[in-house]
Parts: sequence; structure tokens; C-alpha cells
Amino acid sequence: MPEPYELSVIEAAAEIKEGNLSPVQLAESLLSRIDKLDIDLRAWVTIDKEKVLEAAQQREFAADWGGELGPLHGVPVGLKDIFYTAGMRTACGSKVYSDFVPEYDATSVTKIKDAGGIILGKAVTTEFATSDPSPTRNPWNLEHTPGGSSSGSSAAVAAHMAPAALGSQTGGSTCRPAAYNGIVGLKPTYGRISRYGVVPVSWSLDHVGILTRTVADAALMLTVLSGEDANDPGSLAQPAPDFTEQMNVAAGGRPPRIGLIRQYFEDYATHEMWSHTESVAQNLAGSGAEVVEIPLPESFEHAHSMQRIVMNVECAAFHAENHRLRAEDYGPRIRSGIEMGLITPAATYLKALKLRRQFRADMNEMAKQVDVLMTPATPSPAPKDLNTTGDAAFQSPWTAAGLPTVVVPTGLSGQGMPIAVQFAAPLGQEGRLLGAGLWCEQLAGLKKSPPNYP
Amino acid sequence: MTQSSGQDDIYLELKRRAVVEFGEARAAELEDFLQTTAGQVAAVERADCPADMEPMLQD
Repeated sequence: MPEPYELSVIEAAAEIKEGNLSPVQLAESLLSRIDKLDIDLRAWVTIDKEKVLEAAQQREFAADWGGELGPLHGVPVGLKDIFYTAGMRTACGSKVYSDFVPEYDATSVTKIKDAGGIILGKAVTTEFATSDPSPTRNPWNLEHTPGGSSSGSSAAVAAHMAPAALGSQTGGSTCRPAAYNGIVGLKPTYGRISRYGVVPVSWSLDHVGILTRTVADAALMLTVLSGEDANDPGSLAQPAPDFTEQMNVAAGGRPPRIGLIRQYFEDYATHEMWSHTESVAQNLAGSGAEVVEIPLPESFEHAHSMQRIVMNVECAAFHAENHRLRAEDYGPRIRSGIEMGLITPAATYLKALKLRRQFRADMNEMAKQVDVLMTPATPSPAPKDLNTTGDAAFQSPWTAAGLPTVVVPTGLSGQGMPIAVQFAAPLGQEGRLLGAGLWCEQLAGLKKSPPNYP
Repeated sequence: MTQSSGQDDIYLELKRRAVVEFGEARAAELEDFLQTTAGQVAAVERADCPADMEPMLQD
């Protein structure tokens, strides 16, 4: 058997269920890995080893005792440090929340625990999940950004310090760092996973995101985390299906009809990224997929501006009081974003919301023409620049539209950095999305670890 | 700011608001953000959308 820290979520849960691995062994293996690597990678902000081992011991007793085990039984999961954890600091990468200790768990944290999972710790986030870079490093090359804002969650999963972690996405904060770190990132349909107990950036744009090393793990995590929540007004009033089953049905059926979006994405991406995306599309077509080109709706023209206006204004609404009292305690980019939101006219904000409603309908109609849409995951591989978190331009339109997206690693750049493609599906069609992602993952056959952190 | 406001007019109005809200020195520091935001506001203002559309997210 490989080292426990090398196992995926599904592999670890299966080994525990079979009695081949104890939850304590797995937790100790991951904690030891963190001790060894986090000096370089700086992916974690809070880890309570005693609590982790205590929870692992409880899971071990439960496994020994027999009976029904949850789908995550004994598997540790990392949390971006914007998720409420009862009794554990949730600092949001900020001075403003540096002493904040929530009294309750976020709904998603409760769901992980109810499924038998263990909270491994709090992963570094950029300040309030926006764009001031965090101290986290990219395990593929320490001089390149890991992306953000879910920087610690992504680096931790990529470097095998956690089999899965939660992130969030308001612009591109899950799928972009996933692509930069060579892992799978899933942003579900808006409202699919409750945001109750997640410190907001922008209520009408925020999504909980999932970071794993395999598409199947992302499907399992989504099944665990989904479901209507009366505490989140944006929560989807739909039952949570078994996404693993839906994914397997989709992946096992006819090859998908894929809509490649050339418009905008070809011009904005580097030549290397676009060539790679075309090459992946050709490989998928060679394996039976029908690949067609799909034009963007006219409303795409204003998508980035509309998204930014909504984000700035809603972010300003959340932070207005703290900004008034202690503006100097905010980082330069979030402070400026808040200030732009504070001076944006209310009528402009409402028009941006109206435009988004039209845009959402247009994007969903576009997506319905095929099984999944496909684009490069990012305009370039992770930039060699620690003063940026990279470019969210290929994520933010999907976030604004609320459509589900998944990023699947498909290769390495000339500089040895991960590159990926992004799939999108109509609202509510994560099963179809994950099926295409799984199919692509199997064809790409890529299972690489960062060379310095294998 | 009206639908016919040009980007330059929008920038000047945002700058005026920034001076009132945050002071002249801070408004000067925000110059790049003011320019970018003026572009975003202008893009939103000139976009067409049905007059009777409500600004809800979920249908």
C-alpha cells in the first residue's frame, strides 16, 4: 500500500472501511507530512493536532465497533480559513478578524463531520478571500503564485498534505488555484452547497468550492456537502442527488458532445494555453467525443464589468462598518475594492444585477446546446510573480452565471507548471459535468505530483 | 450618472465621491482603481437589458 498521505479520499475511506488502515494512522501520516512540508509551502494557518488525533481515535473506535460508516469515515479534510469552526479561530487572513472564534460550525463543516470526516485544520486564504496575495507557495515551483483566494487549500491538496479541502469562489478562487496547482477544482451550481457559516465576499456571487486530486473525489465530496439549507437564503430548493452515480452514468454512456468556446478565450489565453486546449479537444474527439464550436451570447461582453460591480458593492456592504472604524487594517487591494463599492451608485449596482439575470439565462441556454462546454482553465499557467494571485478572467463569467464548472489537470507547460482545461454545464447538471471531467481525466492519464513534493 | 454619461464623466463623479468619502489624499491613491471602476460602470450603464427585468439571481 502507498503511504497513507498519498491516498485519495475514496481510496482512504475504502482502506479504513476494509480495516487495512486506521483513521489514526492516516491522520498521523498527514500531520507528519504537514510538519515536513509546510515550512516551505505555508498552506496552513491553524492546526490543532490533539483535536485531529482525538477525532481520529473516535473514528477508529467506531470503525472497530462495526456498523454503518459514513462516506468520509476517518478521512481528514482541510478548510479554507473563512469557514466557521466552533471553538477554532477563523481569521480570514486578516487583522480585522484575527481574534474571531466562531461559536458554531458552518453547515458544510457539520456535513463533513456527519459523514465521518475529520477537520484537519484551517488552510491559508488571501485576506477575506479577495486578491491580496497570501504567503502560501506553489508546490510546483516556489517562485510561482499558487493562485487564490483558496491558496492554502489548493497547495495542501497538491502537496498531499490533505486528500481534499474546501475553498470558495466569488470570481475564480477555487478553479484558478486548482489549475495552477495541478489538481481538480469544482465550483457547483450557485446555491448547491450552503454558505451558512462562511464569511462572505459577495452574497449573490459566493459559492463553496471543492479541491481534490481526482474527479471522483470531487463527486463524493459534492454528494456529502449538497442540500437545501434554511439558513442560507441562496440555497437551492432541490434534493441532493448521488453525484457519484450521476457521474458514472454520464461517463459510462456515449462520449460527450463538447462545445469548445474559441471566442474571447483564444484571444485572451497565451498561445501555449490555447494550443494545449485544442490538443485536448482533438484527443477527446479522437476518443469519440463530438466537439463543436459554440459562440458566446452577446451579454458576455459586459460580464466581467457586471461581476466586478456586484462584487465590490456587496463586499463593501459587508465590510462598511469595519472599514469606517479601521480601514488601515485592511490590505491594499481589498481596501480599495471596498472603497470602490462604497462609491458605486446604487442604480448601477441594480442594473448590474439585472444584466446578470439576463446573462445567466443566456449562458444557460448556450450550455444546453451541448453536454458540456470547454475552455482553457486559465489564461496562462501560474505566473512567476508572488505579488499576484493570477487572473480570474476565465472563471468569473461562470461564477456570475452560477453555472457549475470543473477544472481537470491535463498537462504541464514548457516551464513545468500545471495546465488544465475547464468544463461547464447547464445549471444543476453537475452529474453530466463530472462525467465529462472523469472521462477527460481518464483519457489524459495524468497523475503527476509536484516534483519536489512527490 | 445617467445612461448617457461618458466614461470621463463617470470617472469625475467617482473621484468627487472618493474625495468626499475618504479625503483628497486617499482619493489620489485610488487613481488606478477609479479609472478601472469608471470603465466598469460605463460598460454596465451602456449595456441594454429589458426595462422590466427584475434584478433577481434565481429564476
